[in-house]
Amino acid sequence: MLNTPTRMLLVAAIICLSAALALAQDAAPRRLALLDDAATVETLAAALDDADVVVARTAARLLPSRGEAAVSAVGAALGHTDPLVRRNAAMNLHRLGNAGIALADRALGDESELVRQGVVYSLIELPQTAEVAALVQRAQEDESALVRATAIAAARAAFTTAEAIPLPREGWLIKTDTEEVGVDEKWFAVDLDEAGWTPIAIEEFWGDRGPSSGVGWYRLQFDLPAREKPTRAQLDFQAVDESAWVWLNGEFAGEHDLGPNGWDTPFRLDVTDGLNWGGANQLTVRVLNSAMAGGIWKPVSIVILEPAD
Amino acid sequence: MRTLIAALVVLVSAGSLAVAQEVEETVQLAEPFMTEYSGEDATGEHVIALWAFNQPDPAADLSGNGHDLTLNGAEFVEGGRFGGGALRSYRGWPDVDDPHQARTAASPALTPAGAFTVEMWIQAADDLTEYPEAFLLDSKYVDDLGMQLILTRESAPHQRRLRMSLGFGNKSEAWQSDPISVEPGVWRHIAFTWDGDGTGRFLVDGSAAGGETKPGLAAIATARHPVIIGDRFGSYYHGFPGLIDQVRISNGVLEFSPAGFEMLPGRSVFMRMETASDVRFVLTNRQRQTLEGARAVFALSGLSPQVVELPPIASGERHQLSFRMDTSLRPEEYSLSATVEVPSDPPFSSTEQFDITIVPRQLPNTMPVVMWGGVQGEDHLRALRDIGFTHYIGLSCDFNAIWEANAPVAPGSPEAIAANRVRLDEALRNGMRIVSGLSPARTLRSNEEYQRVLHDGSKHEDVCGLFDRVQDFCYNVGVSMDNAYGDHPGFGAALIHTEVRGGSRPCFHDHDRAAFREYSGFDIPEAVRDMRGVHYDTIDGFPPNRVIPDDDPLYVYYRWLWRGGDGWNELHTRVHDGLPAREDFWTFHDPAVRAAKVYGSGGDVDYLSQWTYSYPDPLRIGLATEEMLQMAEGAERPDQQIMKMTQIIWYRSQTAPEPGEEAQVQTGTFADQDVRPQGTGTVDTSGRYLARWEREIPDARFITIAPMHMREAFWTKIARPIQGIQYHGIGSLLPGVTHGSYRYTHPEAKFELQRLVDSVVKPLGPTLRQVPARQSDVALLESFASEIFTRSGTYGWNGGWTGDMWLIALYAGLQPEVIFDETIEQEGLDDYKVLILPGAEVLTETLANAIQAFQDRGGIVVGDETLCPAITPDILVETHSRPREADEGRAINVEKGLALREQLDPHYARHADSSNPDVVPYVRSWGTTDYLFAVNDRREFGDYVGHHKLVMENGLPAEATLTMARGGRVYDLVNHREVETAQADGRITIARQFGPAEGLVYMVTERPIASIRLTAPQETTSGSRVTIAAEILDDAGERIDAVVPVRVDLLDPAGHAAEFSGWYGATGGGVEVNADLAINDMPGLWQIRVQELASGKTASAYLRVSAG
Repeated sequence: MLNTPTRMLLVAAIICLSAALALAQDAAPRRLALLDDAATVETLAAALDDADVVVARTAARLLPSRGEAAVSAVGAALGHTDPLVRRNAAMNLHRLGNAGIALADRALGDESELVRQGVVYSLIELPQTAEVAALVQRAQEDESALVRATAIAAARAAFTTAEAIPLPREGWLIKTDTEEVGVDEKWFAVDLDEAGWTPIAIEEFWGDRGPSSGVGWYRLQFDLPAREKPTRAQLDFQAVDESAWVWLNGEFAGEHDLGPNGWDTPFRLDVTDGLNWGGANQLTVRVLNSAMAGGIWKPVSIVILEPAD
Repeated sequence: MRTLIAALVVLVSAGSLAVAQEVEETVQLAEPFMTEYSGEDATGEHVIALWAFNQPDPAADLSGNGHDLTLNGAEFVEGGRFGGGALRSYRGWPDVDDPHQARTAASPALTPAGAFTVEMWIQAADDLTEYPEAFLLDSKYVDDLGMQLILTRESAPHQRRLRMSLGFGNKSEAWQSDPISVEPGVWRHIAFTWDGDGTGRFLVDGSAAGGETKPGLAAIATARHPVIIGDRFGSYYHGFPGLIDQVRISNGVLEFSPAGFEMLPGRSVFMRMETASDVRFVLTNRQRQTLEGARAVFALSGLSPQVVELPPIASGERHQLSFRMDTSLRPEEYSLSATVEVPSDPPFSSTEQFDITIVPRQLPNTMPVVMWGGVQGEDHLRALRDIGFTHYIGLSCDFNAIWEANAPVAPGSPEAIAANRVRLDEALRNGMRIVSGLSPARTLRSNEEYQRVLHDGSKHEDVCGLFDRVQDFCYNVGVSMDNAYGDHPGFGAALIHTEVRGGSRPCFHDHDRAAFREYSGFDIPEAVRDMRGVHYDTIDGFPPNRVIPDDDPLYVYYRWLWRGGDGWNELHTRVHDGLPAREDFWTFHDPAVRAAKVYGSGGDVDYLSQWTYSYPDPLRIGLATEEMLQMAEGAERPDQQIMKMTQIIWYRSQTAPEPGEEAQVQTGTFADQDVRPQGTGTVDTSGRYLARWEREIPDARFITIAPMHMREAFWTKIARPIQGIQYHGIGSLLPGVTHGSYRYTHPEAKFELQRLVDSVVKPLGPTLRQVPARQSDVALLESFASEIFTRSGTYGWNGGWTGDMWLIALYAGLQPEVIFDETIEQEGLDDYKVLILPGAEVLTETLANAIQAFQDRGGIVVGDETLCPAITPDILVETHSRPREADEGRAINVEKGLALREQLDPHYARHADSSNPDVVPYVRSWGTTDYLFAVNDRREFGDYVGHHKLVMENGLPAEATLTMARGGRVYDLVNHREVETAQADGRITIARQFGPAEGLVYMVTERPIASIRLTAPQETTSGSRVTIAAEILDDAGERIDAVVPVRVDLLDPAGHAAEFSGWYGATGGGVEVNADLAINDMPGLWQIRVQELASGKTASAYLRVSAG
C-alpha cells in the first residue's frame, strides 16, 4: 500500500521516536541542570560536548553571562560543529564585554550566515566604539543578504535620519524579462542601450506594463547634488511588490526577497560608497512578482544618516 | 358577479412590532346559490345558460340565450331543490346502455371563451350506491374539446370525487376534487371554476373542495357536441341516478363561499411548545347581506375545536380573528379547518382548509451546519437540508428606513416583511433556520458626514464607529429585526458586520483623537497612517535589539485601535444587543481574525467565525481556528465561542492557470446537471491535459473544492472545539444555482459533505460541542508587536511564514496553541513547555522578559532567524518562501517538522503522538477522558487541478502508530466500537490505517464502558411528561467520566420516532430526556431505545401510554 519512500520515512520516524524516548530520560535533566545559576563555567563548558545539541546550545547561550572566566569556553563554543551552538554563543558575546569583540571579529568569519547574524546582534549591544562600528560595517558588506540586512538595521539604530532625498516618481523605464535573461545580459549596466524600454512612473503598480507574473526591470537616471560623502547613505524603498534586486551605478547593492509576503514591507540598502554626489547616478531594480499586482508601488528615496547623539 | 370595495386595516406581521397596513381590495361577493337564481344571476351578461327545470317550461334556458333542452331518456320531475322541478336521470351501462339525458343543440356559444364556472345541485338516488362513474355534464365525449363533469366511483360508502376533464384542442387535462359525501336524498351544490390560466377549483355547498393549477393552459377548445346534462354524450352511457337542479354555466370565476378565510402571512409553521402561537385570519363576508349570528369554528385535524362568535359583519366587510395553536400537539403536518357557520334556514356552513405544521424542538447542543449564502427557492432549500445544513442566509433588512427614522421601525415594507415571514415558515417547515446578514454600518460608507477622516483631513469611504448616531443605528437595526421576526423560531441567527475591517483606516476626527488621548494620556502618534502599523525600518531610533517599552506610543495606539478604538467591535455589540434574546438565537461575526492579533475582535457576538480556502494545505484551516479560539478566550464576554467556515469555492487563480486558446468551449453540459463525472479530462490539440471542467467551462473563475480537501479540512476543524461549521459557495456545491462566477465543477463535493455531516456532525456534534480543548503545553506566539512593527501577520489567511511554521509544528507532532501578547501578559507562560516564535521580530519588554524567564526555567524556545535579538532560541527553524509547486512546499515543511521533532524529542514528551508525520493528532479533554483526533494529510496531485502542480488535491492512504501518554480504554466514536490497543509503561499504542484524507476521533476513558442503565416509567398517559435517564456505566457501576455520544429513540407503537429522538451528548456519562408526550400521541406500547456511540452498547425499555 505504501510506496517505498514513504515506508522508509515511516520507519525513520519510528526509529527517531524510539531514540528520542531513550534520550529524553537524560537530556532534559542535563539541560535543566545547566539552567541553575550555580552551574559553573566548567559545567557549561563540558556541556558543549553533550551529545544533545539543545543541551549544548543552552550551554553556549549561558556561557557568556559568566563573564571573562568563560572567554575560552565561549571561544570553544564558537568552534562547535553545530551552527546553532556557535550562533547562541555569538548572540551573547556582548556579555563578555570587550573580551567579546575579538571573538566577534573571529565569528564574523564563520561559514554560517546565522552565526554571523548572531554576531551582529551582539555588536548592537556593545558600546558603539570605532572598533565595533568597523565590525558592523564589515557585516554590512557580508556576502549574505541576511547578514547585510541585519547589519544595516543595526547601523541605522546607531544613526538618525539627517536628510531624505526623494527620487522622482516619473522618469523611470521598465522592461519585462520574460525569458529571465536580464542578469546574464547585464540589464543593470550603466551604459545599457535602453532602446525598447518603456517609460513608467513609480508609486503605483506596473499594471499592464509589467508581467502579471514574472520579472520586470526598472531603470532610473538621476543626479545628486555635490556634497561631502555622508557617514551613512541608504536607499530607502517604502515597498516593492514583491521581491527586488538592486544595482547602483552598475554595482549590486542588495536584495529584498521575502517571497509574496514582502510586497508591503519597506527595506533599505546601504549605498554609502556607491553614490556619485554631484553627478549622474544610475539605479536598476529587478522586480519579481508572482501574483496580483507588481512593481515599485511606493516611494523611493536616498536617506542620509548621521550618528545619533 | 357582484363586487364591493372593502377597506380593512390588517396587521401584516406578527411579533411585538405589528405593522398596520390599510388594505383596499375588491371583494367578490358569493352567488346566492341557496336560492333560485333570478334577475342578474339568471340573465346577466356573464350567464351562458341556466336551466331550472321548472314548469311550465322545464326545458327552457332561463338565461335567455336560447339553449333549450331536449329530453333523451331523462325526465322532468317535481321535488327540486327549491320546491319546483328537477331533472331525473338513471343508471346506464352496464344495467342498460341507453341514454338518460337532457341535451341542448350543439352551439359554440356553450363553450366559454375563457374563465368559467359550472354549477348544479344534485341529489343522489338510492341506486347510486355501487354504481360506478356517473356523468353530470358533458360536451366533450372523447374529444380534446369542451368539458366533462363526472362523479367518480365510490371510494368509501357515499364518498366520491368530482372530476372535470377539459379539452384544449390537442390534449385534455383533468382535475379531481377532494372526496365529497354524496348521500342518497341529500341535496349538494357542486361547482367547478376555471380561471382560464391553469387553475381549476371545486366547491361543494360553498366550501372549497380541492383543485389544482396546471401551468401552460388557457381557454378550453370549442366543443362540437351539445351540452349533455345527467349523462354522457354517447355510449357507454353513464347516467346519474338522481335529481339535478339549477344547472348554470357562467363566464368568469364565481364565488360561492358565504365567507372567506384568508390566513395572514404571519405563521403557518410552529415549533412544538412555543408560546407565541396564533394563526391569524381575515374573514370576509361574501354574502349579499350582513352576516349576523354566525360563528367561526377552527379545528386542527379534528382536534381541539375553537369557536369564535362573530359580530355582525356587513356584506363585503372583513373581520380579523385568530386561532390559538395548541403547540403541544405532536410534531407533524396538520390541516386546520376554518368553518363559518351561517344561521340561515336551513343553516349552512362553509369550510376552508389550511396547512399548519408543528416541528420538533431542536435537541440540546445540536451542531449548526450553516450555508453562508442564500437559497434560490425551496428546491435548493431542500437540497441543502438533505445534505445536512441547518441554517442559511436570508431575511432582508431595510437599513435605510431605520437610519432615516433614527429609531426601531419596520425593517421593510409590509409586503417584504410578509414575504420574509413566509420564508421563515418555509425554513422552519424543513427543519432549518434563517441567518440574517446584518452589516448596517457598512451601508453608511458613502455617507460623507459619518465617514472616517484620514490624517491629512481627507475622507475615507468607511464609517467612523465612534459616532453615537451610528452606534444607535446599529442597535436600532437589531431591535427592528427582533420586533419583526424575533417571535419566529425560523429566525435563528444573525451574521453581524461581515468583512468590514479590511478596508478600514485609522480615523482622526476630534472625537477619535480625544478618545485615544483619554485612553493613553497622549496624542495619536504622527507616523500612523493605516491599520497595519509602521515598519520599524522607517522609525528613527528604534531599539536595535527590537525590544520596545510596553508604553511605546505606536504600540499603545495600535493596540487601542484594534481592541476597539476604531469602533467596530462596539458596533458589532450594538447590533447583537438589539437582536432577540431567545436562547436558541445566536449571532456571529466574520471574518473575525482578519484582524491584528489582540483580544476582542467581534465585540459581544456569540460566536466568532472565519472562512478559509483549503488550498494548498487543508491543515492550514486549523491555524485560523486556533487564532479564533485565542481571540474568543480573551473576549470581554467570557462565554464567547467560535465556528469555522470552509470555502466551497476555489479561486481559479490559486489552483490552475488561465485557459489557453486551445480550450474548447462547451457549455450547458456539466455545470447545469447533477451528474457524476463521466470520465476525467482529455488531452487537447496541443497535447496539453485539460480536466473536464477546464474543457467545458474554460472561463470558470471559481471552481468547486476537491472533495478530499473538503474532508481533510473538515477533520482538521472539527477536531478543535468549534460550535458550528459553515460553508460558502452554494453555486459551486449544487447544480443549477445561478451565480455570476461560482461554477459547479465537482459533483462529488456535496456527497462528501453529506457523508461527513451524517457520520460525524449529527451523531457526535452534541458531544463535541461540550468538549473543550486540552490545555496544550506548546504555544505559538503570534506577536502583535511584530505584526505592527513589521506590517506582517496572517490576518486570518493562514499563509506566510507563520502558516508554514504552524504546519511544521504539526508535522513535528505538536499541538500548538496560538497565543497573543495579551496571553503572556495576563497568564504568563507557566502552562507551556515549548514556545514557538515565528516572525517574532519585535517584542515588548514584558514579553521579552517573560520569554527569557520561561527559557531560564526550562522552557524550549523555537524561533527563526528573524526572532527578536533579545531572545536566543534553543531551536532555530529557518524561514523559507514557499515554492510554487505544492508538493515541494509540503515536503520542505515535513522535512523541517521532522528536524524539529528530532531536536525536541529528548526534551519534550507529547501527550499524544503519531509515528507518521502525515497523520496529525489533536487532543481534547473532558474530565479524565481524552478525545484523540487524527487526520491523514498524505496527498498527491490528481487530475482535477493537480496537473498544474499548485494543489495536491487527492488523498492517499497512510498508516501510523498513535500513542498516548496514559492508560485506558479507547473507543472509535465514528464506528461505535472499542479499539484494540497495546498498553505498556503507562502508554497506549494504536496501530491504524487511514484512508485518503480520513480523520478519526477516539474517546479514551480511564475505565471501560460496561453497560447502560436506562431509567424510565413503565406507564403514563398521553399529554404527560416522561423523564428518561440513560447512564453510561463503567465496570464498577459508576458513570463514565466523559461526554458520551448517545442516540435516543422514542418509538411509538407504529414505530414512528417521536420528538426528542436523536443524538445527545451524555454529560458526565448521563443524559436526561424530559419528553412531553402529546395529547394526540399514539396510545399503546412505546419503545425507548438507547445506544451509546462509543462501544455500541444498547438498552431498551417499554412504556405503556394510555389515552390521556
